[in-house]
Amino acid sequence: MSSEITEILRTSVMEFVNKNVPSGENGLEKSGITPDLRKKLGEQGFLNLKLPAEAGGTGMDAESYIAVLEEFAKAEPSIAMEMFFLNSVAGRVLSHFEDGIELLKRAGRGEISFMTAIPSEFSRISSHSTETTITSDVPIAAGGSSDFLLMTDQSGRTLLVKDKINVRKIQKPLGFRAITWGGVETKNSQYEDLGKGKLEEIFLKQVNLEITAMALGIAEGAIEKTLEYTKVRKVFNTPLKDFGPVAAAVTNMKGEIDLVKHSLDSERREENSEVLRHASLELALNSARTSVQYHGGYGYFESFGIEKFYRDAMAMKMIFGGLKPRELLYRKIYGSDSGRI
Amino acid sequence: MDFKFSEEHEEFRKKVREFGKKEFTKQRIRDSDINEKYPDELRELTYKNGLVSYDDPWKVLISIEELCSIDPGLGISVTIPYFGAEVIMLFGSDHLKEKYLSRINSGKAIMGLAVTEPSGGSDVAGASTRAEKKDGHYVVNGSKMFISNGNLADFFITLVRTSSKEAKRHHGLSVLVVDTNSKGFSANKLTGKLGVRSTTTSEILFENLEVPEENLVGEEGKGFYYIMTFFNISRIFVAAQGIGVAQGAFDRAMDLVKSRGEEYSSREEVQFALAEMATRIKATRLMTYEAASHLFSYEPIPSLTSMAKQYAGETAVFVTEKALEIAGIDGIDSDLERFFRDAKILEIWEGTSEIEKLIIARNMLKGEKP
Ligand SMILES: Cc1cc2nc3c(=O)[nH]c(=O)nc-3n(C[C@H](O)[C@H](O)[C@H](O)COP(=O)(O)OP(=O)(O)OC[C@H]3O[C@@H](n4cnc5c(N)ncnc54)[C@H](O)[C@@H]3O)c2cc1C
Repeated sequence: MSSEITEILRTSVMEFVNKNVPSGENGLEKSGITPDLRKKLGEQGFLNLKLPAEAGGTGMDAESYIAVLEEFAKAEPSIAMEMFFLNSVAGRVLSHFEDGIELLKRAGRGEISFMTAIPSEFSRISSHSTETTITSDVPIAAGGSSDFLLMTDQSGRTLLVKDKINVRKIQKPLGFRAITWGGVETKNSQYEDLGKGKLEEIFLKQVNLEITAMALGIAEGAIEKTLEYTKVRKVFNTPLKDFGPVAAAVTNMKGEIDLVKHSLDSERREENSEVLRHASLELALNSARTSVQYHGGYGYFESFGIEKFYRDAMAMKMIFGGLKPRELLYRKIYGSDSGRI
Repeated sequence: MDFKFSEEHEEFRKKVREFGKKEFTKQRIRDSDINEKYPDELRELTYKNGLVSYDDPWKVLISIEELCSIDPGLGISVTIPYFGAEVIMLFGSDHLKEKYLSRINSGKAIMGLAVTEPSGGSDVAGASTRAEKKDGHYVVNGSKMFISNGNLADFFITLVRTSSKEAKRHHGLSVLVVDTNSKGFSANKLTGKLGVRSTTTSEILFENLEVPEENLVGEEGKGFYYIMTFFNISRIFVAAQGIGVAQGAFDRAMDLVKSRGEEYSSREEVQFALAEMATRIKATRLMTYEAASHLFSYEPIPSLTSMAKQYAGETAVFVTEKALEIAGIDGIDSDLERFFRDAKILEIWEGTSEIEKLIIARNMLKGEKP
């Protein structure tokens, strides 16, 4: 798809956000992604961007999908994350069988949604299953509503759980507050076996560019606002941008953002995807922290729409950082196992 | 050089810790954080147990440090009712000490310090809230922003402009004690903070509010100096908040690492992270205690105090971020995520990190040797 079309997509994301997503005092984090908003996202074709055509997807190319994720993350990282769970995670594991395709179609229209058990290097899911049912305790899952659950069972199989999903909802999770977070219990729930190790594989290896796009979006959202704020906020009768350390910090961040953006736009992005993943996670956190700092007291309040980037950037690192993905990065650079001691 | 606290102070530290562990229950911590509820009963309890007494500033520092390591939000909430007391202690008349400090010292009142204005907190000398003398009163008009205890305090140490001449920027400021039950006072609670959510933060407004002349602290025109002197003291206590936040996060990260077994704890990447966190905490402690030693023996070194404050804020942020990285996704609903949210304020209030750096450099350029 041409970059012209990508630009049109970016503009349509911005227009959608301005028109449909609440901001300020009663912003999206308060209301959450409501069924109504989910439906609107579906109607506009944002939910099924990367789903296969047979599941109602638009067959969009990677470049455009990534651009949409980035653009949503710039404004509302939670929406990007929900799109990611559906397109990049559910889309990958459910498109191989008929029932799964049906579910994806409905999810793409915003009629149903999934929770996904986030793979953790440390806390194990406890589960006990018969041939058709599963009873389990999942420490942490995230997503839309709990119509369906994607999880890994104790033996490493990825399952789609279809009923009796009980979420212990976290009231105020650290990040991505507009989606649902919680521990999940299933009790004698029906499930579908989707195969071994799929979820972990996806989180570890297959979504580097999507992660980069979301982290980059967070960094851009934070720094663009900071650029604007430091032009207009006067301290000591002087715009903040005129102070050397402020200009240096903000322009350094902006420069790093441009570099990551350039690499993500380049044809060689796949080749560099491990590096991009790690660089962008770091960049998102640094940018968001800088942004809170330069907004002073105002940046500290939810209504200003700045501190959420800091929380979301930290949560991104917690979900997608860690030792295992770093080992993959070292291996990529050294060409063999490294850094394991 | 003796790097040990006295036995009395060590005993006191133990007592504070035991109190915090018992009274900062999970329920209280969650309730205050999620619902942004000020824990007044806990404030009273802290007072009754003698944990915040200005008779010995080391004890105040120890209390803040220990309580913040258990929960920063509650730790700050129960030690902040006295915010600004030093201004009256150092510069107030006997009348003001008697009328206001005695109520604070007996735990009966809450106070606050109102300096920041909507147009800017860093530029203290730019304050524009006006106080005009009229018939034995000052008539105050203006507003203050992000004021802790805004909806709780019985009175505020308030920085006002008493001279209209722009040339007199620093010298045109004075400090008044403003009763919040005065006509013309109002406060709007600001909700939705990133962290320290059990503290109350407000915008406060003065509309033709009359303050008796005897509520002027010290002399007219010396307000800027009084407030700067106060910040040179209070920053030590912010540094103590930073030590507490960082230590609390470190302890939790250490527990996590140990609980994951030897294969994990023997990884060098993990060990380096722990070492870096611990080293910064130790450096913060040493710097803070040295600055406090000078301050508490009436020989403050402002650049050193600012170094401690700035470094403590940075350390709290660094350590809480690293701790959450170690926790991974399991930290999303943990104590650590709260510590992370609570840490950032330490780089913002009572002089942002940038302002501290300016103070450090400018004092050193004038010859101060921290
Ligand atoms: C929860 C909370 C509680 C608070 N409680 C109180 C209280 O009880 N009483 C009170 O008076 N205030 C209080 N404050 C206000 C606090 O002290 C101010 O927010 C702080 O001083 C910064 O002021 P500002 O927010 O106006 O930021 P600004 O002054 O607008 O500064 C914005 C950014 O610019 C940077 N900057 C400013 N000047 C320079 C420079 N020359 N060079 C480089 N960078 C610069 C700052 O460091 C900051 O990062 C509170 C704030 C919060 C968030």
